[in-house]
Amino acid sequence: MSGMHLSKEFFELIKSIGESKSKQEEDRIILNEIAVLKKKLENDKPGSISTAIPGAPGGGVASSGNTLTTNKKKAREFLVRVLYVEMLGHDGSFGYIKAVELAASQSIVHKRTGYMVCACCLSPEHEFRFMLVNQMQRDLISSNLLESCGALIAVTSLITPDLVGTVSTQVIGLLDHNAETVRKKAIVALHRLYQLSPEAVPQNELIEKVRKMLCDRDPGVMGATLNVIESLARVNVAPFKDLVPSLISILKQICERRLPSEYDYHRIPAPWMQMKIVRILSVIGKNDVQASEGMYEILGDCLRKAEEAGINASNAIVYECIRCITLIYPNPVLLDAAGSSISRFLSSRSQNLRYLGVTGLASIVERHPKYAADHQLAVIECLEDKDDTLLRKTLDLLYRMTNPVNVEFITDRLLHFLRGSTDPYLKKDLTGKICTIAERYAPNNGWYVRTVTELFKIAGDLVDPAVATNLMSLVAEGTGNEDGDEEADMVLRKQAVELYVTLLASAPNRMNRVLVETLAWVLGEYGYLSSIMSLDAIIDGMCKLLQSGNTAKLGGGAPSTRRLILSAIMKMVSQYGSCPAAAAKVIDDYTKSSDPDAQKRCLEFQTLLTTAPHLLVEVFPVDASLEDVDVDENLSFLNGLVAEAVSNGARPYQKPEDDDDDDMYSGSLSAETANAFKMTPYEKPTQTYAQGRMAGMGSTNMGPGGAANTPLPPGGSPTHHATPNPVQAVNPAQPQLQLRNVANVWGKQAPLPPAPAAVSTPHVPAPASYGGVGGGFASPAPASYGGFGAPPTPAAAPVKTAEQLEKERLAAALFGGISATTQTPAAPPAHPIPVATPQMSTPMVSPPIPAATPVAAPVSAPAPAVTAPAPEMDLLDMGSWGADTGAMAVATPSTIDMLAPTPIAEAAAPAPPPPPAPPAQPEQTPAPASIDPFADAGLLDGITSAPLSSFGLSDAMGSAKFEYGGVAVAPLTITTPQFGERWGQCPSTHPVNVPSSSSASTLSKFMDICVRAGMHKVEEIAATNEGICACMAGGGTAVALVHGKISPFSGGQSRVDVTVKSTDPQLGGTLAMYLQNMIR
Amino acid sequence: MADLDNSKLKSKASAAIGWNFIVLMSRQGKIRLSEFFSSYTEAQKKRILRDIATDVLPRQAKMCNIIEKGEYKFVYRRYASLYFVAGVPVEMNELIVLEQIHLFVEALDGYFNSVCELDLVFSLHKSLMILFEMFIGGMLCESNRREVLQQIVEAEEMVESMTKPGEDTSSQLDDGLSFQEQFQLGRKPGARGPRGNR
Repeated sequence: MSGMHLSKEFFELIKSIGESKSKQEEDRIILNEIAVLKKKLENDKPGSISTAIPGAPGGGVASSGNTLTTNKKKAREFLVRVLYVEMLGHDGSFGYIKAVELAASQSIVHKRTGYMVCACCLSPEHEFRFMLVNQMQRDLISSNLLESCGALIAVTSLITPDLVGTVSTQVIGLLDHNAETVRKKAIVALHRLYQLSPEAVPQNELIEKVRKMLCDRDPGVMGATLNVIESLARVNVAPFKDLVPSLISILKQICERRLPSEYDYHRIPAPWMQMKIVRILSVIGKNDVQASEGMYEILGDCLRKAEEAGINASNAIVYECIRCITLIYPNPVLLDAAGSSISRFLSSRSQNLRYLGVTGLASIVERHPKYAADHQLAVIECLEDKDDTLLRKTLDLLYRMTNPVNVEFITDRLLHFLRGSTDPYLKKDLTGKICTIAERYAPNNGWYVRTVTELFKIAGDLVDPAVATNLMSLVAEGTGNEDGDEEADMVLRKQAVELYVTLLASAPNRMNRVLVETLAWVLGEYGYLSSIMSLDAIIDGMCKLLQSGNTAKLGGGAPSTRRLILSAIMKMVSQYGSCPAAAAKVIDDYTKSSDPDAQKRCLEFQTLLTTAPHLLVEVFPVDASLEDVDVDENLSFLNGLVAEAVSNGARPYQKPEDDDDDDMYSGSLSAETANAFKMTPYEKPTQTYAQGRMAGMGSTNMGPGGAANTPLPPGGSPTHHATPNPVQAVNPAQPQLQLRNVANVWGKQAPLPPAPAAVSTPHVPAPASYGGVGGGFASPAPASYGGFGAPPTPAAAPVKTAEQLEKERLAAALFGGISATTQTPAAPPAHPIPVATPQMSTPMVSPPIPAATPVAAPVSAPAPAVTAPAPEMDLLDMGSWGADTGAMAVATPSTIDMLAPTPIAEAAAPAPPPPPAPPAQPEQTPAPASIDPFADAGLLDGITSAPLSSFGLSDAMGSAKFEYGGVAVAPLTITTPQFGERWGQCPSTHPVNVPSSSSASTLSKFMDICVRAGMHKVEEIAATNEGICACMAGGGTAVALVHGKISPFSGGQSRVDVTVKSTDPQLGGTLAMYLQNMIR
Repeated sequence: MADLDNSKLKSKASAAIGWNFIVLMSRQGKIRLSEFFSSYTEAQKKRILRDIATDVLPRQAKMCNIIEKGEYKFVYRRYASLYFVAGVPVEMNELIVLEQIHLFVEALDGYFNSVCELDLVFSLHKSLMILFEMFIGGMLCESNRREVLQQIVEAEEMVESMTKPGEDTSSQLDDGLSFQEQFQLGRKPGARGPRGNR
């Protein structure tokens, strides 16, 4: 029988694929198969009569009534074979047309096969999808529900955004179909259409349908709808907030086994639905105290029931509950329950459960560090596990529980794993993490320099260039302390120099770009400090480095690295006093370089060296990267030239209108000016002109090698915030056009300040130049840097009994600062008090906060853009986290006392991080009005004087000032730097997050709200959408500071993140509530 | 350009809460079934398949069944010599994915009546249909096994009833093998076809 024969062919195909020994062999089989299939298709053409010899592969089947067109079953097999071809990575597009044909077949099985093959093979941009639309439309409204179902499934995978409109009506119609299987597919399909093209499916309609479907009488439909709700709520939670009671009641019914037993899975009632509901609850409960409180009970029940079952499916629910509990507004009882579930996971023998345990722990420690303490040994064991996945998760956990005490240990561990890793994902991830914790918690500068250099060595190609800039600033500035801790700075520089000298000597050919550039700059500036190697030896080493083949390859052969090395050599030559032969040769070589920038530098240097060597010292001053440079802003030395040009008919220079625009390079070269440039031929450069050019070049082109007239090379700015030319700071070596330099000088050299505002910092140390705002987390900071005075070495920890195991030692190092357990002897506490004092005098020890350097402060004073956008929020988070630790430290006396200097007020702050802690407030508040137990959600004191209605509309707010203790607050007129200072002094922090607000959808609206509340607008930074305000109450006895960030998204809505800091927790709390109300 | 935009849109659409892809791979690294719910380029698909072969297959039995790969992770389960590997977004609950895989296997088992690798190989399209019935766009939408099988079987019965007399039914894929051939494959003759049919 021919039919038999055909299937045998297929059988042989599968068999030979199965037996093939190599990919090549498999490919050959498939290529052969493609040829056979194509032939079949050819024979199938109408009118073509099989000429193939019977029995030959693929031939002899095209007799009438048995072609692919007429025999659907054969066509079906043909398609499955095409599917195989595609699945094994070959192109089966020749057969798609058959799939489309089959989709139009009468028989449902054939139809579905056709659809299915289309769904699997057709890429979204394939033109055949247009051919299918018509068919889908017809099938959707078919009276045969199997056809509708097939079409609905096809819709989810075949429709593209441009085609959504063609089927949406039919899909919506199917939502009311009698058969539940159609309804459930329809709702999923509709959601899919909405995702593809939100315009074609109105959101309101979708949400309304979804809410209706949630109450469908069929549990399957409800289950499918949960998927859709979760997906929608993740984008915008607002329309689903009021579903909490319904969801809770559904979850309750599932837990009580009210669903048909068909939905049970291994005797667990519908675990999928339970899990989904818990997930949705966690999305809704996040940042919403009220919603969170409503779900505590059911979460507890659900968790307990799942714990009882103890099989995998129920563990999944447990895990979901843990996640939910850590995400919603914290509840101590639930947290404890989650904590004990986590310990069960961690101690399990199943690797999967341990993995989940570590993940759960990581999610809980960020906000509740105390839970980490119970699991020290378990975590150490996971670190030693040979299972890579578990190990990675544990590293992530370590990263999250880093604090100033254990940072050295944890960084060591992470570096160790980074060294051994080959996986690019892991490497990138670890590099970022190490940078973050090193910057955030560095115990001292020397450590920071060593750590970051080590990181450069291991994974320099993955490091953010800004980290290198930071490192250089740190070396240049040291502690940045005004009181002249110059000696400590010199020690640091010397350490750094010796570190790099050793590197230069040992591994000149294995360094990556970041490392070479940092090394070149540090040695160029401070090479003379080396006691290991003489300066001329270093110069020699640098020359070799410059010429090595390795260097030439760095950065894809980009010239910037070589320019940097050249600058370093020049600087060192000038420090050395004479030019060693090697250097002279190198510089001579580069006068013929094809890189114009390097060539120019070398030529100029050579000229200086031969004609006026005494000037070298002035051009390359020693350790002057921080000096403020006297720049002739008016370029008066060019006046002669200008006058001459004008007298020759050139148009006088016209100052561009917006000269504080950051992207002014293009702006200042507006069409007019550009034209002027084009039309007037350049003057032949006179002698003066050449000198001017060179001076200019020195200032901007030299990058970090900045010479005497460098206004602010990276070293001169604590971070690139304060740098006048952000481009330069981010990549010191970036080649720059001469043109820019001129524009720079003319455009805005003088009024430096506006520049920094627009620069967003991608990393934590950003607030450096803000001094004060950096102090936003300064409350924990003094505590944090306690480690500086007495760095807790792991070795100091184990003192106890004989059975002190290595693991316990590790645990002690690891969990230092998290809690006091018996294993952590109180070795360091001896120090805290002596340490505390120096801290006060050197408040900013850590590199990221070299803060108010004498140089930087005046420059950046007007600028302090309050905060860098996201990272700053991070800092604030960490601030409250730190506060948490602080509180604990006080509570448990045996805790390592690095934290002792924390102000007492800090310690008194409530432990859970979002401290508005409304329930606690009525008892504490002396103000009589606030006894009113939040009947009107946070109106509090204001309630008596301000009519309720006025709070609804921000426009009506005209006169309703925020009142505290019955008295309106007074604006506190301070400047941004003062704001920053006070920010750090305020012990209580009250974050307010409004996920979507229309009343404060723009920065100015938000500022209006604040001003109307009676605050002083300190600064409004449009570039980053941030604003700061201040007010005082009780005649200045209590101060409240407000920082707000607006993140607009579509539809005129914005996410608003506000942080209220106050000297008085009551004031802060009420103000936070008030603002929350207003913003909503 | 247009291609790029389209594929971006599509992958964004289903990435959030469901499976991104499912691959069935034998221990020898042969692909038995693959379906990408989110759209990936050919190069990405190749890379995923290669990653599965290099990362999943060599893992020891006791290790955990999860491998993180940046923006997605593999969650896999091994049945005899066949690995079921689901690619899911990072934030997805790994344990429930493991159970979802098992649910799929149970459904296959119910349909093929004690499923084995050969069933899947020879009835690729049937397996895919079951998959599509359960996971629409990667989201588990039908967790009731009976419901799933009923859909498939009903459709098949309809075909039976529509078959005209005299048409060559033996060329239907599944029944195309002689008993002898089935024996060669190590299978009990007759032990196939949906339960509902017999």
